[in-house]
Amino acid sequence: MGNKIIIGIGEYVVANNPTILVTIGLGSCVGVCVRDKRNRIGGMIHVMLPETKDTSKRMSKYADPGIKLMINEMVKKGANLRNFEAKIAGGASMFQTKGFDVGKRNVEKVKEVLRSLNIPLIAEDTGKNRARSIEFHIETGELFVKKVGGKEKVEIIKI
Amino acid sequence: MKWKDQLSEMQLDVLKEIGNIGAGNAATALSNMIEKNVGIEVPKVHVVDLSEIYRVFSSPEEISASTVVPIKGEAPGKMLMIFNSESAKKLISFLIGQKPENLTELDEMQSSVLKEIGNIMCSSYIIALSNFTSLFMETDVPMLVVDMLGAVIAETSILASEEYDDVIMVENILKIKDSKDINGFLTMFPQHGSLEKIFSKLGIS
Repeated sequence: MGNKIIIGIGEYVVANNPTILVTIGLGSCVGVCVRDKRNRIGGMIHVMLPETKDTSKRMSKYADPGIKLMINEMVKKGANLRNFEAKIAGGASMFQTKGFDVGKRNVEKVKEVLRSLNIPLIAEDTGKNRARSIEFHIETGELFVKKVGGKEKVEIIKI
Repeated sequence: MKWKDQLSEMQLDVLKEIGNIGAGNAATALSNMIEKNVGIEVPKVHVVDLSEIYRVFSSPEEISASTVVPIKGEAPGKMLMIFNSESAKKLISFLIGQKPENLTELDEMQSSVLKEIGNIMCSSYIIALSNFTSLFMETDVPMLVVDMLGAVIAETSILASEEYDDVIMVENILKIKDSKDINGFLTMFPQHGSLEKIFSKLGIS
Protein backbone atom coordinates (compact mmCIF):
# COMPACT_ATOMS: atom_id res chain seq x y z
CA MET A 1 0.00 0.00 0.00
CA GLY A 2 1.28 3.42 -0.90
CA ASN A 3 0.67 6.60 0.98
CA LYS A 4 -2.62 8.37 0.55
CA ILE A 5 -2.95 11.88 -0.80
CA ILE A 6 -6.25 13.67 -0.31
CA ILE A 7 -7.29 16.00 -3.09
CA GLY A 8 -9.56 18.94 -2.28
CA ILE A 9 -12.28 20.50 -4.40
CA GLY A 10 -10.86 22.15 -7.51
CA GLU A 11 -7.38 20.66 -7.08
CA TYR A 12 -5.34 18.04 -8.88
CA VAL A 13 -2.38 15.90 -7.88
CA VAL A 14 0.03 13.88 -10.03
CA ALA A 15 1.96 11.09 -8.32
CA ASN A 16 4.16 8.08 -8.89
CA ASN A 17 3.53 4.50 -7.87
CA PRO A 18 2.68 3.40 -5.21
CA THR A 19 0.30 6.15 -4.23
CA ILE A 20 -3.41 6.15 -3.51
CA LEU A 21 -5.22 9.30 -4.57
CA VAL A 22 -8.36 10.10 -2.60
CA THR A 23 -11.12 12.65 -2.85
CA ILE A 24 -14.07 13.00 -0.47
CA GLY A 25 -17.67 13.99 -1.04
CA LEU A 26 -18.09 14.38 -4.79
CA GLY A 27 -21.57 15.71 -5.45
CA SER A 28 -22.02 17.34 -8.83
CA CYS A 29 -18.22 17.48 -9.01
CA VAL A 30 -16.42 14.82 -11.02
CA GLY A 31 -13.28 12.95 -9.98
CA VAL A 32 -11.19 12.29 -13.07
CA CYS A 33 -8.49 9.63 -12.64
CA VAL A 34 -5.88 9.20 -15.34
CA ARG A 35 -3.06 6.67 -15.35
CA ASP A 36 -0.12 5.72 -17.52
CA LYS A 37 -0.54 1.97 -17.15
CA ARG A 38 3.07 1.12 -18.16
CA ASN A 39 5.02 3.77 -16.24
CA ARG A 40 2.55 3.79 -13.33
CA ILE A 41 2.17 7.52 -13.12
CA GLY A 42 -1.28 8.67 -12.10
CA GLY A 43 -3.27 11.82 -11.57
CA MET A 44 -6.59 12.79 -10.06
CA ILE A 45 -8.50 16.03 -10.45
CA HIS A 46 -11.63 17.10 -8.55
CA VAL A 47 -13.50 19.03 -11.24
CA MET A 48 -16.13 21.47 -10.03
CA LEU A 49 -17.43 23.17 -13.18
CA PRO A 50 -17.29 22.54 -16.94
CA GLU A 51 -15.07 25.26 -18.35
CA THR A 52 -13.60 28.73 -18.16
CA LYS A 53 -11.74 30.97 -20.53
CA ASP A 54 -10.82 33.45 -17.82
CA THR A 55 -7.18 32.75 -16.94
CA SER A 56 -7.33 34.81 -13.73
CA LYS A 57 -9.45 32.06 -12.18
CA ARG A 58 -8.25 28.93 -10.44
CA MET A 59 -7.97 26.76 -13.53
CA SER A 60 -7.99 23.43 -11.70
CA LYS A 61 -11.65 24.00 -10.76
CA TYR A 62 -12.68 23.49 -14.38
CA ALA A 63 -12.72 20.36 -16.57
CA ASP A 64 -11.37 22.54 -19.36
CA PRO A 65 -8.52 23.49 -18.91
CA GLY A 66 -7.97 21.61 -15.59
CA ILE A 67 -7.65 18.13 -17.10
CA LYS A 68 -5.21 19.36 -19.74
CA LEU A 69 -3.03 20.98 -17.06
CA MET A 70 -2.94 17.72 -15.13
CA ILE A 71 -2.08 15.71 -18.27
CA ASN A 72 0.77 18.14 -19.05
CA GLU A 73 2.18 17.61 -15.60
CA MET A 74 1.96 13.83 -15.99
CA VAL A 75 3.83 14.03 -19.27
CA LYS A 76 6.48 16.20 -17.61
CA LYS A 77 6.91 13.48 -14.98
CA GLY A 78 7.65 10.98 -17.74
CA ALA A 79 4.23 9.58 -18.59
CA ASN A 80 3.47 8.67 -22.19
CA LEU A 81 0.14 9.74 -23.69
CA ARG A 82 -0.11 6.46 -25.60
CA ASN A 83 -0.40 4.47 -22.35
CA PHE A 84 -3.09 6.64 -20.83
CA GLU A 85 -6.43 5.39 -19.57
CA ALA A 86 -9.10 7.19 -17.56
CA LYS A 87 -11.81 6.39 -15.04
CA ILE A 88 -14.33 8.90 -13.77
CA ALA A 89 -16.86 9.11 -10.94
CA GLY A 90 -19.28 11.75 -9.69
CA GLY A 91 -21.59 14.17 -11.46
CA ALA A 92 -24.53 13.37 -9.22
CA SER A 93 -27.56 15.55 -8.84
CA MET A 94 -27.84 15.64 -5.03
CA PHE A 95 -30.42 18.39 -4.94
CA GLN A 96 -33.29 17.74 -7.29
CA THR A 97 -32.86 20.96 -9.21
CA LYS A 98 -34.97 21.33 -12.30
CA GLY A 99 -33.37 22.17 -15.62
CA PHE A 100 -29.91 23.22 -14.51
CA ASP A 101 -27.94 20.02 -13.86
CA VAL A 102 -24.29 20.91 -13.19
CA GLY A 103 -23.37 17.27 -12.57
CA LYS A 104 -24.52 16.18 -16.00
CA ARG A 105 -22.79 19.10 -17.70
CA ASN A 106 -19.57 18.35 -15.82
CA VAL A 107 -19.61 14.69 -16.93
CA GLU A 108 -20.27 15.66 -20.56
CA LYS A 109 -17.45 18.18 -20.56
CA VAL A 110 -15.01 15.76 -18.90
CA LYS A 111 -15.75 13.14 -21.57
CA GLU A 112 -15.35 15.70 -24.32
CA VAL A 113 -11.93 16.77 -23.00
CA LEU A 114 -10.77 13.14 -22.64
CA ARG A 115 -11.91 12.38 -26.22
CA SER A 116 -10.06 15.42 -27.55
CA LEU A 117 -6.87 14.14 -25.89
CA ASN A 118 -7.46 10.58 -27.18
CA ILE A 119 -7.51 9.16 -23.68
CA PRO A 120 -9.79 6.12 -23.51
CA LEU A 121 -12.42 6.19 -20.76
CA ILE A 122 -12.42 2.61 -19.48
CA ALA A 123 -14.84 2.89 -16.55
CA GLU A 124 -17.28 5.31 -14.98
CA ASP A 125 -19.77 5.63 -12.16
CA THR A 126 -21.64 8.85 -12.77
CA GLY A 127 -25.02 10.52 -12.37
CA LYS A 128 -27.85 9.46 -10.00
CA ASN A 129 -28.33 11.43 -6.80
CA ARG A 130 -25.78 10.06 -4.31
CA ALA A 131 -22.53 11.72 -3.26
CA ARG A 132 -19.35 9.68 -3.76
CA SER A 133 -15.91 9.38 -2.18
CA ILE A 134 -13.25 7.77 -4.33
CA GLU A 135 -9.85 6.08 -4.00
CA PHE A 136 -7.62 5.57 -7.01
CA HIS A 137 -4.77 3.07 -6.77
CA ILE A 138 -1.99 4.04 -9.15
CA GLU A 139 -0.38 0.60 -8.86
CA THR A 140 -3.39 -1.37 -10.14
CA GLY A 141 -5.57 1.30 -11.69
CA GLU A 142 -8.44 0.22 -9.47
CA LEU A 143 -10.96 2.88 -8.53
CA PHE A 144 -13.01 2.34 -5.38
CA VAL A 145 -16.25 4.30 -5.14
CA LYS A 146 -17.97 4.80 -1.77
CA LYS A 147 -21.64 5.77 -1.54
CA VAL A 148 -24.31 5.88 1.12
CA GLY A 149 -26.67 3.01 0.41
CA GLY A 150 -29.72 1.51 2.09
CA LYS A 151 -29.92 1.18 5.88
CA GLU A 152 -27.36 3.98 6.28
CA LYS A 153 -24.63 1.54 5.21
CA VAL A 154 -21.74 2.66 3.08
CA GLU A 155 -21.44 0.71 -0.17
CA ILE A 156 -18.10 0.33 -1.85
CA ILE A 157 -17.83 -0.71 -5.47
CA LYS A 158 -14.72 -1.26 -7.56
CA ILE A 159 -14.65 -0.04 -11.13
CA MET B 1 -11.77 35.68 -6.07
CA LYS B 2 -11.50 35.14 -2.33
CA TRP B 3 -13.67 36.22 0.59
CA LYS B 4 -10.58 36.05 2.75
CA ASP B 5 -9.03 39.07 1.05
CA GLN B 6 -12.24 41.10 1.21
CA LEU B 7 -13.46 40.88 4.80
CA SER B 8 -12.24 42.94 7.75
CA GLU B 9 -12.10 41.78 11.39
CA MET B 10 -15.05 43.99 12.17
CA GLN B 11 -17.12 42.54 9.37
CA LEU B 12 -16.36 39.04 10.62
CA ASP B 13 -17.56 40.10 14.08
CA VAL B 14 -20.76 41.41 12.59
CA LEU B 15 -21.29 38.07 10.83
CA LYS B 16 -20.97 36.37 14.22
CA GLU B 17 -23.55 38.75 15.66
CA ILE B 18 -25.86 37.99 12.75
CA GLY B 19 -25.36 34.30 13.56
CA ASN B 20 -26.31 34.98 17.16
CA ILE B 21 -29.50 36.78 16.26
CA GLY B 22 -30.50 34.32 13.55
CA ALA B 23 -29.71 31.18 15.51
CA GLY B 24 -31.38 32.62 18.60
CA ASN B 25 -34.59 32.98 16.66
CA ALA B 26 -34.22 29.50 15.14
CA ALA B 27 -33.61 28.00 18.60
CA THR B 28 -36.80 29.59 19.90
CA ALA B 29 -38.72 28.15 16.94
CA LEU B 30 -37.32 24.66 17.60
CA SER B 31 -38.01 24.98 21.30
CA ASN B 32 -41.66 25.81 20.61
CA MET B 33 -42.00 22.83 18.29
CA ILE B 34 -40.57 20.19 20.59
CA GLU B 35 -41.34 21.86 23.92
CA LYS B 36 -37.79 21.54 25.24
CA ASN B 37 -35.07 24.04 26.05
CA VAL B 38 -32.77 24.72 23.14
CA GLY B 39 -29.45 26.50 23.63
CA ILE B 40 -27.02 27.98 21.15
CA GLU B 41 -23.24 28.06 21.21
CA VAL B 42 -21.24 31.16 20.35
CA PRO B 43 -21.28 31.29 16.52
CA LYS B 44 -18.12 30.74 14.53
CA VAL B 45 -17.29 32.23 11.17
CA HIS B 46 -15.25 29.98 8.89
CA VAL B 47 -13.56 31.40 5.84
CA VAL B 48 -12.00 28.33 4.24
CA ASP B 49 -10.48 27.56 0.90
CA LEU B 50 -12.66 25.25 -1.22
CA SER B 51 -9.92 22.65 -1.20
CA GLU B 52 -9.95 22.64 2.63
CA ILE B 53 -13.69 22.23 3.26
CA TYR B 54 -13.43 18.59 4.26
CA ARG B 55 -10.91 19.52 6.97
CA VAL B 56 -13.42 21.73 8.84
CA PHE B 57 -15.37 18.66 9.91
CA SER B 58 -14.01 15.78 11.93
CA SER B 59 -16.04 13.24 9.96
CA PRO B 60 -16.91 14.57 6.51
CA GLU B 61 -18.29 11.21 5.37
CA GLU B 62 -20.80 10.92 8.22
CA ILE B 63 -24.40 10.41 7.12
CA SER B 64 -26.50 13.41 7.96
CA ALA B 65 -29.90 14.86 7.21
CA SER B 66 -29.80 18.37 5.81
CA THR B 67 -32.50 20.80 4.83
CA VAL B 68 -31.34 23.16 2.11
CA VAL B 69 -33.29 26.40 1.92
CA PRO B 70 -32.70 28.93 -0.87
CA ILE B 71 -32.77 32.59 0.21
CA LYS B 72 -34.37 35.04 -2.21
CA GLY B 73 -34.69 38.79 -2.10
CA GLU B 74 -32.14 41.57 -1.71
CA ALA B 75 -29.41 39.41 -0.17
CA PRO B 76 -29.78 35.95 -1.74
CA GLY B 77 -27.89 32.80 -0.76
CA LYS B 78 -28.49 29.44 0.86
CA MET B 79 -29.26 28.24 4.37
CA LEU B 80 -28.45 24.77 5.60
CA MET B 81 -29.82 23.02 8.70
CA ILE B 82 -27.90 19.82 9.38
CA PHE B 83 -28.61 17.09 11.92
CA ASN B 84 -26.55 13.98 12.44
CA SER B 85 -28.35 10.67 12.15
CA GLU B 86 -29.19 10.20 15.84
CA SER B 87 -30.37 13.81 16.29
CA ALA B 88 -32.60 13.66 13.24
CA LYS B 89 -34.23 10.42 14.40
CA LYS B 90 -34.86 11.76 17.90
CA LEU B 91 -36.41 14.97 16.58
CA ILE B 92 -38.76 12.99 14.37
CA SER B 93 -39.77 10.87 17.36
CA PHE B 94 -40.43 13.98 19.49
CA LEU B 95 -42.90 15.24 16.91
CA ILE B 96 -44.68 12.14 15.65
CA GLY B 97 -44.00 9.62 18.37
CA GLN B 98 -42.17 6.95 16.37
CA LYS B 99 -38.42 6.83 15.84
CA PRO B 100 -37.29 5.82 12.34
CA GLU B 101 -34.68 3.07 12.03
CA ASN B 102 -32.68 4.44 9.13
CA LEU B 103 -32.40 7.91 7.65
CA THR B 104 -32.01 6.35 4.21
CA GLU B 105 -35.48 4.76 4.44
CA LEU B 106 -37.67 7.54 5.83
CA ASP B 107 -41.33 7.39 4.88
CA GLU B 108 -43.13 10.42 3.53
CA MET B 109 -44.39 11.57 6.92
CA GLN B 110 -40.98 11.27 8.59
CA SER B 111 -39.09 13.05 5.85
CA SER B 112 -41.61 15.86 5.60
CA VAL B 113 -41.45 16.39 9.38
CA LEU B 114 -37.68 16.60 9.24
CA LYS B 115 -37.75 18.90 6.22
CA GLU B 116 -40.25 21.16 7.94
CA ILE B 117 -38.15 21.42 11.12
CA GLY B 118 -35.21 22.52 8.98
CA ASN B 119 -37.38 24.87 6.99
CA ILE B 120 -38.83 26.57 10.06
CA MET B 121 -35.38 27.03 11.59
CA CYS B 122 -33.82 28.42 8.43
CA SER B 123 -36.79 30.73 7.89
CA SER B 124 -36.59 31.98 11.49
CA TYR B 125 -32.94 32.79 10.94
CA ILE B 126 -33.69 34.68 7.75
CA ILE B 127 -36.59 36.60 9.30
CA ALA B 128 -34.29 37.75 12.10
CA LEU B 129 -31.58 38.74 9.63
CA SER B 130 -34.08 40.54 7.44
CA ASN B 131 -35.46 42.52 10.40
CA PHE B 132 -31.99 43.36 11.68
CA THR B 133 -30.77 44.68 8.32
CA SER B 134 -34.10 45.97 6.91
CA LEU B 135 -33.28 44.08 3.73
CA PHE B 136 -36.09 42.21 2.04
CA MET B 137 -35.33 38.48 2.28
CA GLU B 138 -37.52 35.41 2.03
CA THR B 139 -37.05 31.68 1.75
CA ASP B 140 -37.87 29.45 -1.21
CA VAL B 141 -38.96 25.79 -1.35
CA PRO B 142 -36.83 23.61 0.99
CA MET B 143 -35.19 20.31 0.06
CA LEU B 144 -34.19 17.42 2.32
CA VAL B 145 -30.95 15.62 1.49
CA VAL B 146 -29.70 12.54 3.35
CA ASP B 147 -26.08 11.99 2.42
CA MET B 148 -22.44 12.53 3.41
CA LEU B 149 -21.98 15.70 5.46
CA GLY B 150 -18.96 16.99 3.50
CA ALA B 151 -20.67 16.56 0.15
CA VAL B 152 -23.78 18.44 1.24
CA ILE B 153 -21.70 21.37 2.52
CA ALA B 154 -19.52 21.46 -0.59
CA GLU B 155 -22.49 21.22 -2.93
CA THR B 156 -24.36 24.02 -1.17
CA SER B 157 -21.39 26.33 -1.15
CA ILE B 158 -20.79 25.71 -4.86
CA LEU B 159 -24.43 26.52 -5.60
CA ALA B 160 -24.28 29.67 -3.48
CA SER B 161 -21.22 31.25 -5.07
CA GLU B 162 -19.26 29.56 -7.80
CA GLU B 163 -17.10 32.61 -8.53
CA TYR B 164 -15.25 32.25 -5.24
CA ASP B 165 -12.31 30.01 -4.44
CA ASP B 166 -13.19 29.98 -0.79
CA VAL B 167 -16.31 29.54 1.29
CA ILE B 168 -17.73 31.64 4.06
CA MET B 169 -19.83 29.84 6.63
CA VAL B 170 -21.51 31.29 9.68
CA GLU B 171 -21.70 28.23 11.90
CA ASN B 172 -24.21 27.90 14.71
CA ILE B 173 -24.50 24.88 16.97
CA LEU B 174 -27.84 24.24 18.65
CA LYS B 175 -28.16 21.95 21.63
CA ILE B 176 -31.12 20.53 23.44
CA LYS B 177 -30.30 20.78 27.10
CA ASP B 178 -31.98 17.72 28.55
CA SER B 179 -30.96 15.33 25.77
CA LYS B 180 -27.26 15.74 25.27
CA ASP B 181 -26.97 13.86 22.02
CA ILE B 182 -29.11 16.18 19.91
CA ASN B 183 -27.01 18.64 17.98
CA GLY B 184 -27.87 20.78 15.04
CA PHE B 185 -25.61 22.73 12.75
CA LEU B 186 -27.18 25.77 11.13
CA THR B 187 -25.20 27.73 8.60
CA MET B 188 -25.70 30.47 6.04
CA PHE B 189 -23.93 30.74 2.68
CA PRO B 190 -24.22 34.23 1.22
CA GLN B 191 -24.22 34.65 -2.54
CA HIS B 192 -21.87 36.97 -4.41
CA GLY B 193 -22.87 40.56 -3.61
CA SER B 194 -25.15 39.72 -0.66
CA LEU B 195 -22.63 40.44 2.09
CA GLU B 196 -21.83 43.83 0.56
CA LYS B 197 -25.53 44.72 0.83
CA ILE B 198 -25.78 43.53 4.41
CA PHE B 199 -22.64 45.43 5.44
CA SER B 200 -23.68 48.57 3.64
CA LYS B 201 -27.09 48.53 5.38
CA LEU B 202 -25.27 48.26 8.70
CA GLY B 203 -22.85 51.02 7.76
CA ILE B 204 -19.65 48.94 7.80
CA SER B 205 -18.94 48.39 4.10
